[in-house]
Amino acid sequence: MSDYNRGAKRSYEDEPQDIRRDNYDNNRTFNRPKRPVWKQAQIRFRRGLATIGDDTDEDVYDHISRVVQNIPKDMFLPEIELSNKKYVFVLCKEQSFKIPLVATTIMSAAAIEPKVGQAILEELNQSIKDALQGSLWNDLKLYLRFAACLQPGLLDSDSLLSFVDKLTGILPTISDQTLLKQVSYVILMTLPYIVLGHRSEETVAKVSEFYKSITELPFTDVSSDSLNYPYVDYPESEEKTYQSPAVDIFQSLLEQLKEVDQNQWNVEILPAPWSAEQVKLSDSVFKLDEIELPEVGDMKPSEGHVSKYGEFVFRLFSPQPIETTPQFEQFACTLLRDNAVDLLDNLDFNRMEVARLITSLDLFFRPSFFVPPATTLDAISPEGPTWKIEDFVTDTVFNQLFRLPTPVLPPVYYHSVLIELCMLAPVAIAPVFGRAIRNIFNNLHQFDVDIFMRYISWFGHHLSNFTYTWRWTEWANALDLPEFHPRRLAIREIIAKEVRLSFPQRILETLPPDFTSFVVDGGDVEFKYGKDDYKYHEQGQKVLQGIKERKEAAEMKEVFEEVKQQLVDETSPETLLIQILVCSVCFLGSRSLSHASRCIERSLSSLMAVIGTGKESRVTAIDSIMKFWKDSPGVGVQIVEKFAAFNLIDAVDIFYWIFGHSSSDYQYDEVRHAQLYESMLIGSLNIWELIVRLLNAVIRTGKEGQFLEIMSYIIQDSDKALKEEEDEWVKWWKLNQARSLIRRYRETLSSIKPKIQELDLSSDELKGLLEKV
Amino acid sequence: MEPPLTSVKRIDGPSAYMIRKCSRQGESAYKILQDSRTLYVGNLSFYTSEEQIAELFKEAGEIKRIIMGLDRFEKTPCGFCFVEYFDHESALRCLKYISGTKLDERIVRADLDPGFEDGRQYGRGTTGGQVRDELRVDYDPGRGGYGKRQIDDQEPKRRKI
Repeated sequence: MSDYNRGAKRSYEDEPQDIRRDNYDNNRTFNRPKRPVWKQAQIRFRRGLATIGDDTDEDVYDHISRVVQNIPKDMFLPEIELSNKKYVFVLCKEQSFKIPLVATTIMSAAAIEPKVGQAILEELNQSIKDALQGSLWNDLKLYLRFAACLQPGLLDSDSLLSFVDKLTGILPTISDQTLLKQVSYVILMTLPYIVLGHRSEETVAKVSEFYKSITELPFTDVSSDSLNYPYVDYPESEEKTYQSPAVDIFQSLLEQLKEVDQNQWNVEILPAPWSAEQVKLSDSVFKLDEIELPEVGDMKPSEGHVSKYGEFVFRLFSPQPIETTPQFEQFACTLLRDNAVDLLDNLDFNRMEVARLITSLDLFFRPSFFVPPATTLDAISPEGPTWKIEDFVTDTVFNQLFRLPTPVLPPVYYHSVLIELCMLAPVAIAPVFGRAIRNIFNNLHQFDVDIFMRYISWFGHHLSNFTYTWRWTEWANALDLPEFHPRRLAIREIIAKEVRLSFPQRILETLPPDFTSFVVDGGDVEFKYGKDDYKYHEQGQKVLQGIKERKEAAEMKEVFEEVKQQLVDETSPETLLIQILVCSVCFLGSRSLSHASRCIERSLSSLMAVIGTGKESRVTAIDSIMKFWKDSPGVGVQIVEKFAAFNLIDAVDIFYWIFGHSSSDYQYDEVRHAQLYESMLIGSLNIWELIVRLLNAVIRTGKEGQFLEIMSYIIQDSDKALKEEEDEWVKWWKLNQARSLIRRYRETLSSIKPKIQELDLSSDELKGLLEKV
Repeated sequence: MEPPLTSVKRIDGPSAYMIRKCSRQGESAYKILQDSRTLYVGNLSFYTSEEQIAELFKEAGEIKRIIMGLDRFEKTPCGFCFVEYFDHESALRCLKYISGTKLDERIVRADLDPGFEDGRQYGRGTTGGQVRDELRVDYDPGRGGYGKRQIDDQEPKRRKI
């Protein structure tokens, strides 16, 4: 291709056949317009900064000195000056662990061209003001961190200290606990960086003073408020297993900093790239503006991690001879977690990059803490560094997924990050995941129900991305456990989730023989009224034909009257009619969800007339749907929701079906898997997700009355089970399910607390839970 | 309209195909799709059911409806669908967290769509399915074996008079 003349017009006719490119060729380089100068500069500027420290082959200081040469000439092109300034801060926010390196680069560039320093400082002032105005506490934390790292060669330390002083000063006037903790967290996480950027006796004394004044603030003690705690009690019959400690992030940060304070705020793991020989810093010093703080009344708590109820994290791995993740007592634990979590939260729009960056997080801290990537456990020597980046990442991402009451981002995001991690480094990550999966599984009986459900949902989804490969046989002993034991139910639910994402035959291929009984392969759906020998065959056919022929509402009414006449000797002809009609609609719409939807829509007036508004008849309708779809409860739930979408039933009816009815009302003889049907409601992910979806919708639409009614069902059902039920694991489920839901909807519950407390409850445990709302 | 400023590429933006398509109409893809609640989902297996799609895609938000892509002649699924959510944010969440992961052991790809119109549920290939299934040269058991055009090539052609 030496004669290839870039940019010149070429005649297609002269070209040899094999070089000619077709229309689908996206890589063609001929006749592509040359990028304008500013575009080239923009790419050079952004790429140079964003990739600092990413490339392990190039020395980071070589990279910095290469980038620094370009910054002064690229940064101020009129087309891109504004966006370039903003870009530095976007980078600091999205990839916070690069802040020390970015600051070093900016300070070096300012040594060549002082205008760079001035521009960045202006933007810094503005960013801090914006974060304060918008109550964006996490952003403020990162901008202050950047400011602290600019001290060695750009920013006047005293001006930064006086700003932090001012911010610390308003803390005692904040009464909202969440806000107080969030602002305190910002300051606490900034202090070590302030000393890192400018170590002097005065700074250390000042920082130490800030820390002490924060420790004296009246924070509520979250350890007495156990609702957010990830662990629950379990029956005594269960063998005691090791419980990894769980700590509140904020509380443990206060503790960890005590040691840092005694250590003169010397944090070993924090890097100070600006002190390297190769780096030339600028002499110019700029002051941070005198930033006015907003009124305390205008400050809002942000949708962040720190809340008044506390955020507990636990150690994912059971104790190992060598500790592969930082201990809770060390500040490094919170520091690394903070950086990893900021990356997860702020870069959620590119999960592949998150996976790549989070596994190279160790490169951005001082070496000598982490072993090289992909080191196996037995290859770690106790003398050297022992932390494993894969263990740390897995621990952090799972803790985010299991965060109570809800994860910061939707659970499926963490699923996808874990999938990317597995694809990025299968050999290094898979054994770590294996340890995590087994450890959680073995401790399911002591985890909160919400964590149980998220674990099931993740594991099923994860397996669906990796050809459903799992060594099931190692869990064979869980099959001998009592029916409702969480470990046994977990197996049932993981397999059920797999089937919902796939189909029964495929999942059967992946399971060892002992486990195949969990897969219900009902084959085609069955219309019982279609069988000639069935008692109500004739009536069933009549209704079915009526719907098939798309009879008018009036004609259908006649059909229903006729059917009722025939059934007049039965105990409840109305109930039978509902069953026949709903079953027929389900059968006609059984080909797919769209068919079901259209079928319901078509017979809407008949359904409305027959089902009506009575609670019992609506429950009969729900029951008929679930019985029709007994082999695929996942589809059943989707049809129930379709009925709700057409206002044939509402959320309260569905909850009445799940919690309100007593099981003796039902005849199980019709149900092939009678036991399965009954137990389906306990520990079922499918039902749990339905509950959460419905409650979220009820709250979104502000139906307070419905919410009260639903919560009463849940709490009374739990109370009844605790009083009457004999199976200790059913009790465990009922209590902890109520606990999880009370926690999830704590804010809404607190507004109707007096009404909830009117419920006549016999269980002290439940009363205690409601006390905490 | 420009994409927002970020340090790495966002994966919830419109695809290169959509940007090209919109620019042919003289509009910015970001403008056309800024409120889009509908996603085109491609590379499905012919055997993947609506229920399976719902099971995975509901993780990103409540689904309003799913429209299965059908073979124009056979009226059977032909490997794509439209998923319509109730809000734009759910569609973006789906692009960020679900597009590019597997469903039924195939990597599915989602793209923002200006909205479903009747007729778009049918394949646009000459044989009724999607065009890509005609040009394919590999064997793909989830999408009807070999590409349609390859199968046709093996049959003797009649000359036009």
